[in-house]
Amino acid sequence: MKRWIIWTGIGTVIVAIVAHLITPIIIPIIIMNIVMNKVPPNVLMRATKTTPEVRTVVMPSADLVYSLATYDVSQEPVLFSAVVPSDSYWSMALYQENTRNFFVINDSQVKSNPVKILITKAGTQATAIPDAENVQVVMSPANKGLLLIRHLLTSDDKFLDLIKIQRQASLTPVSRLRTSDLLPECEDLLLTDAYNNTEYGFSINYPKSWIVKSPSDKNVFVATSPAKSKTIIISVRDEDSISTAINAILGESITNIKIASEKEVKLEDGTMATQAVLEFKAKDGHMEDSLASGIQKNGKYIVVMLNSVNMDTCDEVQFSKILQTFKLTK
Amino acid sequence: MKKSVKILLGIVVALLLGGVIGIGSAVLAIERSAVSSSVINGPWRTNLATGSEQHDMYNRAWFAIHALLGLNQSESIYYFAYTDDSGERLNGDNVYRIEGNVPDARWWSITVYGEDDFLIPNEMNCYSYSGNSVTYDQDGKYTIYLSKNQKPGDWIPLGDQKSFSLALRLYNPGDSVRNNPATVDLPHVIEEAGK
Repeated sequence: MKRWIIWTGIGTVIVAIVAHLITPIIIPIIIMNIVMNKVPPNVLMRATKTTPEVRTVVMPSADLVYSLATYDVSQEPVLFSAVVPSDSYWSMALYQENTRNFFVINDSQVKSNPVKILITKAGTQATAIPDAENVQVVMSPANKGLLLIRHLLTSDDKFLDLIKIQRQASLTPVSRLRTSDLLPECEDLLLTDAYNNTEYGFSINYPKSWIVKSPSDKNVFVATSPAKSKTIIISVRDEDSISTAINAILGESITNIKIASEKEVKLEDGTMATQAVLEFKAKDGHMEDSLASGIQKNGKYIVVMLNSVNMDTCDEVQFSKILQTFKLTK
Repeated sequence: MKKSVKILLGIVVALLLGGVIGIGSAVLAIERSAVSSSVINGPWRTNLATGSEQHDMYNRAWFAIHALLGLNQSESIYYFAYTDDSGERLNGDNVYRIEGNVPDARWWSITVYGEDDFLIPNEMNCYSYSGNSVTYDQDGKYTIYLSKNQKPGDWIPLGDQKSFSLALRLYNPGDSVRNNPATVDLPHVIEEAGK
């Protein structure tokens, strides 16, 4: 019995020491991975004004507007590009998985505007990119980490200007960059897969690589991009305008829907559609943009919507191409 | 008792007891590290190793839990206050007055956080004051009130929090802050009489 107590005591001490040493090492890694898994890789997620609803990261500043991304350089370097405001504080910081802030640059330190920073994995060979003299290279100690942009909001009336600046930031793997201007090359424009709806009589094509999900409620079709940063939703609604139809689709889970513009467009088969650009706030406080088109048929609105965490010109091109494949079939 | 049962029981006891002692003592060490390795200046404390390689493992864990994604001190210095000037824990039922001068930094702000380390919901949508929004008097000083009930002037509502904390952010701090973090002039946090 005595030996049993001694060995159990020794075992307890060893386990206690190991647990004591592992706990503080593993806590930052677990917390950082929780945050990194909330953001699709190499997609900048724009936060809105910081309020009590914004709960992605503890102790956020109420005076800053953030954009957050998980960068992933495991396959290839990524290029960060952003327009830097001329009259207020701005910074971009990179963090390792263990929370170390290994790089930061602010508005007074940038050498060019837009600022361009190539993030590459330490130990890998330099990547030849055009316009190299205006590109700063930063070595990441690991394959993945967090990128955080801080924009100072000096007054509420400057918020719209700040959003415009926030939208112009991008994070793009180098293989997707156009060599001419280092802007992203648009992808997923080959719309080979088709969705046919026999009940309401229409068809539409979507990118082959996208993953079709089970639609909920009155939505008839949902598909997401492989990185989960973009979603197509098709819904049929008994509403008399595209605004109310959009509110009905998004309003169940999302707040602060703002319809920025509406216009009439003619689709390839001659069908008239109302097109709207909208912005809304997701549950965790980050902003998403949407492009939506509504086609009226038999007193209902068929709404085709593309939601994106960070809408860029490629998304607009893609949405336009998707919409042009829309056909009424009966 | 069979020998094999005794061994199994011993392993289970060692794992459970050792795990509880090890994790519990680590959590205590993490919370204590925030005080023991900080530079103290009145009610404020800061850790100059924030975000850097010099951060020890306990500090790194504390910042991951309470103040994730801090910048290193060349870019920003963060001071936290959990007590008032007299050392009493900040209590949501009390009224406080923060008095200060313009700090030596490009930009600064004071933000109030609830017990969960997030902003406190309030009808005024007011969570902080900064160099851009605070009201300065003729001498360049400012006063901010913290309380549940409305106060005239610059006021941050405390909502229904039992306790709360303050963060003072100094972005692009000047030499006087970087060289003398323990003695540089920082705002006073004073409990007022009444509610």
